[in-house]
Amino acid sequence: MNSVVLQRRLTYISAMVVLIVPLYFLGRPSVRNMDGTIKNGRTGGALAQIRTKNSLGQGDLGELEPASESMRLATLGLRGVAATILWQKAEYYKKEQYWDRLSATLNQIAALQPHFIEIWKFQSHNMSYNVSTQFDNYEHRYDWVKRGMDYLVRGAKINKTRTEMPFELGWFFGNKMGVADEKVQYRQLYRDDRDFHEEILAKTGLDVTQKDGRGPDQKPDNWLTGRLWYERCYEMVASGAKQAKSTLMFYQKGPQWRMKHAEAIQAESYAHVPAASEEARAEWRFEAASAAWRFAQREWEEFGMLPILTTYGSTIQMGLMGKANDDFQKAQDDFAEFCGDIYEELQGELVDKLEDVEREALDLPYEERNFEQVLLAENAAYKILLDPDAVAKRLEDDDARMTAMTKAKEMVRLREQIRHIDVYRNQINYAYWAERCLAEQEEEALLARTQMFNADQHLENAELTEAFKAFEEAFTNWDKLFNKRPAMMIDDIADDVIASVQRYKQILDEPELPEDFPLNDFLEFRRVYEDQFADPAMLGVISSWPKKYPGRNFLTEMLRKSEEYEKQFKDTGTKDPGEMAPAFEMIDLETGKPLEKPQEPTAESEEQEEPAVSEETLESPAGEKTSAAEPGEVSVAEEKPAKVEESTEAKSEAPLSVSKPTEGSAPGPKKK
Amino acid sequence: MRIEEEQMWSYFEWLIYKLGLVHGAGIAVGLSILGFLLCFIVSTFKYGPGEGFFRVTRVIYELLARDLPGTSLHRIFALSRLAFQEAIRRKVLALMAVFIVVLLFAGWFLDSNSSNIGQLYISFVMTGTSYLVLLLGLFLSCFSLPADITSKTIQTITTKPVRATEIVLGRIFGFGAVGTVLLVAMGILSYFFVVRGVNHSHSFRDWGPGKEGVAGATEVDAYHSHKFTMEEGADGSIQYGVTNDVQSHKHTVTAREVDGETKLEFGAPEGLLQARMPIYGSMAIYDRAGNLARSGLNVGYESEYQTYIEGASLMSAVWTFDVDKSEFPDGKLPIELSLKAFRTFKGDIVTGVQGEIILRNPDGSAESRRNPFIVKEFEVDQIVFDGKMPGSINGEPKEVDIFEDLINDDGKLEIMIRCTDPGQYFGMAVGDVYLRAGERQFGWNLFKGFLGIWMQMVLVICLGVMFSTFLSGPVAMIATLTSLVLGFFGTIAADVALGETPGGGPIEAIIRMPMQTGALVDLDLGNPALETAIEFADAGIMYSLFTVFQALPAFGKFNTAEFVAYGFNIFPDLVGKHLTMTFCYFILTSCVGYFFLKTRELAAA
Repeated sequence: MNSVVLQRRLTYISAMVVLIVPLYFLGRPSVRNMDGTIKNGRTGGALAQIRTKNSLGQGDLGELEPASESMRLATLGLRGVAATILWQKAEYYKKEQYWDRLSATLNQIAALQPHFIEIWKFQSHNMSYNVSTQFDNYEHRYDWVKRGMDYLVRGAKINKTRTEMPFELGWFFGNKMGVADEKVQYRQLYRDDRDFHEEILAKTGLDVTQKDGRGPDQKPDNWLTGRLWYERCYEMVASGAKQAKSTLMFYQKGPQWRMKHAEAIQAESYAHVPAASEEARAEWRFEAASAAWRFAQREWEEFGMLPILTTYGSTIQMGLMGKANDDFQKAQDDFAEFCGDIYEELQGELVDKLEDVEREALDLPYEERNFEQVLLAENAAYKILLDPDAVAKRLEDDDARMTAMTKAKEMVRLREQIRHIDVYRNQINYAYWAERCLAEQEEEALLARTQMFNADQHLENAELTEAFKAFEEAFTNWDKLFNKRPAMMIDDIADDVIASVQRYKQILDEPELPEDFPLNDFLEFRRVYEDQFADPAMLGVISSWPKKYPGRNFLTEMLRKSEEYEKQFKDTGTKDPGEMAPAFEMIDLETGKPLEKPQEPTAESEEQEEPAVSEETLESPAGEKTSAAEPGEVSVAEEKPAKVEESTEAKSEAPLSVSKPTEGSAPGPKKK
Repeated sequence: MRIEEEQMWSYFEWLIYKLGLVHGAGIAVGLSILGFLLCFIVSTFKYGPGEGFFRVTRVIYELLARDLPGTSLHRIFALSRLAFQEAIRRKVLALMAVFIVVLLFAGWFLDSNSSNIGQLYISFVMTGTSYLVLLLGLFLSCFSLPADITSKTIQTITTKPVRATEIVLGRIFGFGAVGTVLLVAMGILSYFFVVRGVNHSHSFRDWGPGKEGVAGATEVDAYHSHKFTMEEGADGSIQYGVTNDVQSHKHTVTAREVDGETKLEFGAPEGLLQARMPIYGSMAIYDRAGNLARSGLNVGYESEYQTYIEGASLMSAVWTFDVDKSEFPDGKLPIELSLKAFRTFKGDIVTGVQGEIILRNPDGSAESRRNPFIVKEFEVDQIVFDGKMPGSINGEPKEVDIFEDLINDDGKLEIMIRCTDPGQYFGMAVGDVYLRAGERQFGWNLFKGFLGIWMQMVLVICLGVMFSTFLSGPVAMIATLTSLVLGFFGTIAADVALGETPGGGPIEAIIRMPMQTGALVDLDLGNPALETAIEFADAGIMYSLFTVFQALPAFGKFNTAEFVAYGFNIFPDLVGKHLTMTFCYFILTSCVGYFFLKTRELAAA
């Protein structure tokens, strides 16, 4: 062999050997156990270590799909182009309604770009929400809803550290199956779809038949399955995964789905559950719903205690509005005391600028204000808010001024904290839902709903006398509930009640309802409410009413005597409420006697806050004893709401002392 | 499945009434004249008009007087064998290995949860085979002759007493034979792959007496489960049953006594691999006033394949069928529907949209009662009418016999469909309602499907050989590939030429691009004369292209995989039509190939 050639070859071989050494140390792969963890000490080369550290290896991202891997290789780096062409094909198939081809194409797209999360989200939605509706047969629709879910399940397996897919699954199970027009059918199909339950378990390890996933009929419930998916997301985040949404939107879903579950129990007949009679089934159902609301209340309160980093940079807990108000109040008192005369003087100047009625309202203790005074006082409280910095600057002594300015800074911070809590609470109607959870557990709510259902049943069977009696009982209980929990008057429940009143009127066969009709006040309120009487400040008062004015009836004691309210009646041409009601006096709910002095929140009143469901076991409609605490076996005693926080909140739930009422301390009508 | 109207034509209808023969003859004559003129012009430039004319006519004369009559089948066979051996030497059998590997791993890529696994498997194997075989034809046919010419091997052949016709035909037959052998092998493998792939059974999960008799459910096998009901015999014993339709199939259930215990056995899936024999008719739509309309309503879908009729109105769709009683030996008339429902409001969610079917004599003398039905979407819904049913004859309520009273002297029967739900609509196309006249063998249907692929392959080989007679290998391949692409997608050019695609032709498009003018906006250059000139120029270009595309084989139309996949027997007339077209293209390309080879030979001489 030519010596030059030999020389060259040897040089090349040597260079290759030399290069192999750093390549080995750089590119050596890691060795993993079956569960994906790194085998003892075999972390691989530098590149493998970086991949492991940043979870960039295919194995770290999720399960490997041979089809996906081979397709990606086969496209020789043109997978983006291939995916685009397939996407266009998918659109064509959708347009021409070639559903099977669409499904197959979507699988190919996902296989080409398995870690492109938006594909999983978009196309699963496409199948569950868009394609499913193209089928006339609701069973076929259900099948396509499941296909979308299956797509997400596949995406979740391939991207095991991403919470988007489980989060979407939570949404699909709840929203698609529980809100669609076919919700009754979907929910029933899902309950009985044993194959699907087993498939979910086999593919994801999520047991939807566990006690937290079962409805009162002991079958998997779509809302609770959705919640289980959210719980899985929360677990993933606890293990280091990123949230799919903002903290507020991410963590509200779990408890919210509990509430939706409770609503679904109230709305459905559960005809598949054996029962001695329709009445027995209704009673069982509403008790089960009440228990579901209690679970929802507990979770909502837990959610309220969750620290949330706001976009303002502060960390808040929505359930601690009362504490925030108290802290601010203390800081304000401390500041006022420290500043002494100057504070009083400046405050006095602002108070002097108030109108007499506002001053009068402000001077009255909370409990003695009538409704108009409540609104006036809240507005006045806002007007007399002092700028603490301005007060501090008026102090002459340098040291005192410096200290005052520090205190003022703290006051401003606390005030901002309240504002932030308020803004976040309003985004999700926190106060409304908290109130709703409590209201739905009231004895009155249970009785009202059961009797309203019974009345409808009697009406269907043309048993007019029985229907009449059941309606009256239901309306009496509704009236009590609305007085206790006025926020319920601006909810869907109220619409149902109004519809019932219409049916009741038909039985009466009279043009007008009797003057002593229990819901007259409520109906008047609704008329005015629908005429835009309800401004946010008023809605705020309504939602916080039970906590701020425990034991006081909203409609019968307060609202009717408001001058403003009377004026509204006159303006809208409705009947003068003064003619319908006696002169204002506060009535003890328990005794029915006039109160001599305003009630303080006592231990007794706190007792009233407890869930309506007793510790006794519920009887199933068929007469079997089942745990009251549907669906789990947790005793009611364990599930009592946090009383301490309730009482803390009782005085100062709404941020009325510091924020402008119209800025929305009100929960507003129900957000869906 | 969507059936095009032209697919329903019988062979002679296509050949004579729809001017298939005239069209083909026109293309042949047109191309002959064009070819002659082109050759004459080229020869004129080379040799002058007289000599040029002489040379061109001499080639034609040689074809007709010497080469064609002198063509020997023996020599063609020898050359074919040579081409066959050459292909084998070029390791084309490796393609079989590729196909087997694809089949082995197909399970990874196919959606096992598909609503019709049969369709998916059939489409997959037929598409896969088609791609592989067309590529094979392309590579084999385009490179063989140029390689021989480059390596001078052709001179060895041409010095032998071999005619140009024999060289061209030998190549086409040889490569065709290689492709055929591979295609047969692939077809056999595909058959077993599909049959084995869709075959499955079930084990029962639970069963027992229920509200509707003895019923139960199966375990999940092959990603689905069924519910089933059993029929009780006269002695009260349970013998047979049937499952519900899931993923487009059902199973029969047989009860057997084993050791004193009743065991259930589930049969093979039924309904996945079939070859229905449909009889299609013509469709007419009647509007809200009951008058004949050009089409139904558009409910807002982009796709206009189906047209819609309104419920609870006089709107109806009437199909007219030619019925031959002998095709329905059991005296029953099965019809199959694939209608679409469109709701303007949800209404009754549980019950589907309802309609009625009326069978009537086109003469108006008799009609059946209104037969109610509920539409089943995206599946084939079969309704079987007994031979006799209540109806009316000349307005008198009487029992009517479908084959005696409702078919007129011309053998025609009308089927009227109406939607009876107010505010809801039925969507339909002409192929959505047909009479089902029995069934053919699936295997035979699959063979016909593969015959379609074979014809595509032959066309590619013909084109490849033709181009390779005057182009180098790579250029011939590009030319064949271009013909293939244009043959598949030539309709785009037709749409542009006929103005169905907005935006004008190539010149207009070039102007629109820098101006960033949308295709739907009229071209405004501020000079109407210029705009008109551009339009005319574009029209000229597009019609020329359109004419060329028309001459190219429409490869897509030879693909009958959908028929097989959706379980429809491929009409023998359609196969005949495709075979005729393939033969014509074979003749055409052979002639062109011969002339070029002959010219090339002359030039070499």
